[in-house]
Amino acid sequence: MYLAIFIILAIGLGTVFGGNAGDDSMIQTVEQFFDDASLCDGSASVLYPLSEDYIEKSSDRFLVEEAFYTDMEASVGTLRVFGSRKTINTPYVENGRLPEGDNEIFLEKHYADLNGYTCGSSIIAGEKKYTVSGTGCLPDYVYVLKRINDMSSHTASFSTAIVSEEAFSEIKEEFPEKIIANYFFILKNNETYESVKEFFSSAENNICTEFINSDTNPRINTYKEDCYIVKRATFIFAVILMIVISYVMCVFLQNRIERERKYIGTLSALGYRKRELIFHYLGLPLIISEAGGIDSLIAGYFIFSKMLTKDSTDLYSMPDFKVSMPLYIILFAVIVPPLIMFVIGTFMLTRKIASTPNEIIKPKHKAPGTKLKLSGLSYITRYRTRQFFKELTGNAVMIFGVFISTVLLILGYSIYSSIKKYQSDIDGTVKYKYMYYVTGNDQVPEGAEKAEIHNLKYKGSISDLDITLFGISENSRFFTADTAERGADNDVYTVSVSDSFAEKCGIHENDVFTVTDTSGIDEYTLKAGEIVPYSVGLSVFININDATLMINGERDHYNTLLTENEIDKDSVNILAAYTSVEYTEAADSMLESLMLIIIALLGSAAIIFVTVLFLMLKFMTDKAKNNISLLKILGYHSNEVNKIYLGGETYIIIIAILLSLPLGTLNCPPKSRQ
Amino acid sequence: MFIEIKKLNKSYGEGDNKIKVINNVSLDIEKGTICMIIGASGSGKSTFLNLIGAMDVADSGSIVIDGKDITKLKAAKLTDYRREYLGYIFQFYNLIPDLTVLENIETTQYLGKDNMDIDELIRLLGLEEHKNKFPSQLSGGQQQRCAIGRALVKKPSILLCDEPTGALDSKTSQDILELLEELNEKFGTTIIMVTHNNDITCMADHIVVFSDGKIVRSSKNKNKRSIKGMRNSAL
Repeated sequence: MYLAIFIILAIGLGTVFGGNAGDDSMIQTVEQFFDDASLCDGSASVLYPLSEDYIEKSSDRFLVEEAFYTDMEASVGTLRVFGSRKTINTPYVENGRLPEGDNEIFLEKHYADLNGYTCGSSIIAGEKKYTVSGTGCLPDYVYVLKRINDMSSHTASFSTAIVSEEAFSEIKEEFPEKIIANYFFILKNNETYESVKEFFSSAENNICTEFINSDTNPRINTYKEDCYIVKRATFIFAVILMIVISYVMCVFLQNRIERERKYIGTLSALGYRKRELIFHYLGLPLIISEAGGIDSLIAGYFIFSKMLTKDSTDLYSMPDFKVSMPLYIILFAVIVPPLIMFVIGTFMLTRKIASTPNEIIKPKHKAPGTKLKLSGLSYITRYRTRQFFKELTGNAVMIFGVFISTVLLILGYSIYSSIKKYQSDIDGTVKYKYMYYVTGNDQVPEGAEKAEIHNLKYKGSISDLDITLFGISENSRFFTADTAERGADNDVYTVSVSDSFAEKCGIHENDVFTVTDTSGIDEYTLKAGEIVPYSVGLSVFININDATLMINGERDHYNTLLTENEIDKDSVNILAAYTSVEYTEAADSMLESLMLIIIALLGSAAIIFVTVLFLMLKFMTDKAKNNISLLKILGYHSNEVNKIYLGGETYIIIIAILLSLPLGTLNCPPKSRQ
Repeated sequence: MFIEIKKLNKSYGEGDNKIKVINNVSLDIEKGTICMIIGASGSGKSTFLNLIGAMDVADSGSIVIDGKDITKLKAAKLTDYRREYLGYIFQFYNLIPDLTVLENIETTQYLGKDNMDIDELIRLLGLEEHKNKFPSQLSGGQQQRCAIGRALVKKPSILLCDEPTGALDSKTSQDILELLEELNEKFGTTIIMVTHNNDITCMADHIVVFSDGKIVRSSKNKNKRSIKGMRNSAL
């Protein structure tokens, strides 16, 4: 029994500590990466490149550097190609070096690994052949999202790359309309985001098409938010596990005291103090919990840390890191398990041996449930009922263990089924096949529908959420939302809200809520009209003219084309292209990265279920062995004894599962998207 | 003969620590009789009773009950034997502490095919007022009565009693023995009783004396008389 408890502690706490140590080491490594790379305070994209004079004029207020990019079709998927970076957001080189020649390219590490590229490999990008000079990662693309509002990345088919300044100049000359004039900035001298946004917005008859604050940039911060959520959840799990294990051990202790009460009473009569008796009985459990805690550190460090952070290191583009065990985890592992054992054990044992020596030796038998009126029930039912109340404590521990394992099972399965449902919902709700971000107001190609799409922020209960504003035509064939042109009513625009957004944030029809642009500076007040089915991310729908009026202050503008078929890329200035297939691929990628957690949850559920049931049933049948022996002497067959003792427990377990299922499901709303 | 025991042997321990507790014992017991087994502590009486009750396995020899040699039976069949033939009364009652008097008696009523009327049995045992009480709420005598009820409710052919009055005061012991005598007369149950008290052998039909694992004397009791009226000093 002690061995089983030691193993559970070592494995259960080992996964928690290993996962947390891995997450802490990962955060430390990435923070160092950001420092070394001089992470920007934000980025902004404008319609037309800024002149050097304009930038120079404000050099004492902000450090602004060019970070132009373009999305290019590559041998595999799409690459977002940047020119070389000067001082802000400099890349981390994991293998090889940064590109020098005009035919060299530096690839993001996951894209390179997944597609089999190494230093010296050849790759086609934008119809030109490059040689891979090195691989690594960019600080502003730790989470390699194509669009800022994308739900997940799929680095096998979309990632980042850097070419030399010479090579990028050639690209700029060849495809000037496809270049995004993007800038990184660092604030100086207590300048604010408002002032730098004003700098970009008022530049030389220009339009600021995108402004992103690094603090709220999901490409930079998602990894950290994920880590913190996991850390909080796993620490709660660790505390629950330790309480359950401590309680199980103490129930066994009580049983041992019950068996040895004659010796205890005799020792008490001879002059042993209660304190001495308590320490005698608590000694081994304290050693077990201490050993379990220390072993969990070892198991966590050597086995679980890398294993459990693999999903993060596979999902996020960051430097490799070495795991170190932070001091707070070491202290937690060494102090908390024996402390919880000591507190629970002392409380339970003190009550047990608080009596006089004689009362300890010959305790008054209290038959639990004596006040129960059981007449009318069959003999077997009465026997089982009395047995249930006799082992009320053990049954409570068992029911709690069943509850915890059911919750973990539901959580693990719901992650899997949510993503699968999301993928199937995409087919039902996303009717467009292609989405092109374009510039200018050229003639709309045949078959395409114009739209004005912007990324916004909504203040959620835990963190800011990225939502997409779809400004679409009134009779759009791709969306079912009511997007009649309404204009603003006291600066409040009525929008249709996607069901995913409504469910996640508790938004109902006629609710008024506020959103901001990605910088968090410009605010917009919206009123929820109808709730419409749309599964990709969190979205609101509005008439295209209302959208452009709200965001740009003008009508008759669009920045996106939606189509069912691929359009001629020469007919419009395409800044970026997306397909609906990418949503499914991103979900696949997310499922793959979460598979280890899903397996860990399902595995933990099974281990806790089996272990708690085994320990408690063994404990209860050990306690009843005298009665069981007596029944066998009286002529009961083994199956009849099982019917009385195990049959009753089977009903309890089934009832516990049936009660746990709805309670566990409360934690996992069926349509949760994120 | 109802019970025939032939050349029964039983040892405990191994090597130099091996002790022969039953040494080549043979005994015949007639149906419906009270057979009392007496002897000093450690003479092998209780072991002998356990072997008849199939709670232990003999090393060699045979125990034939109603024509069946129980030493040849496997575990499931032995359980059937205990279920169909035996009732057992222990020195320290061995009631299930979490069941009431009624429920303790029901533990064997559940097994029997042709049971006694439980309410009548409880009345006979003088436990009507206590039938919903738990063993911890009863006196020693009341607990032993409950144990007797548990043993008898299924009308066993054989009642094995291991020092049934060993834990009781003299008056209660008298009451219990009178009850057993009455039940033997009324139901014709074969009673095999182990005791270290020679003074109660007067109620026996057959007296067997054990010493060092052997039967040193086995004889019919020509001076059998009722236990009723025996004075406290003798008990």
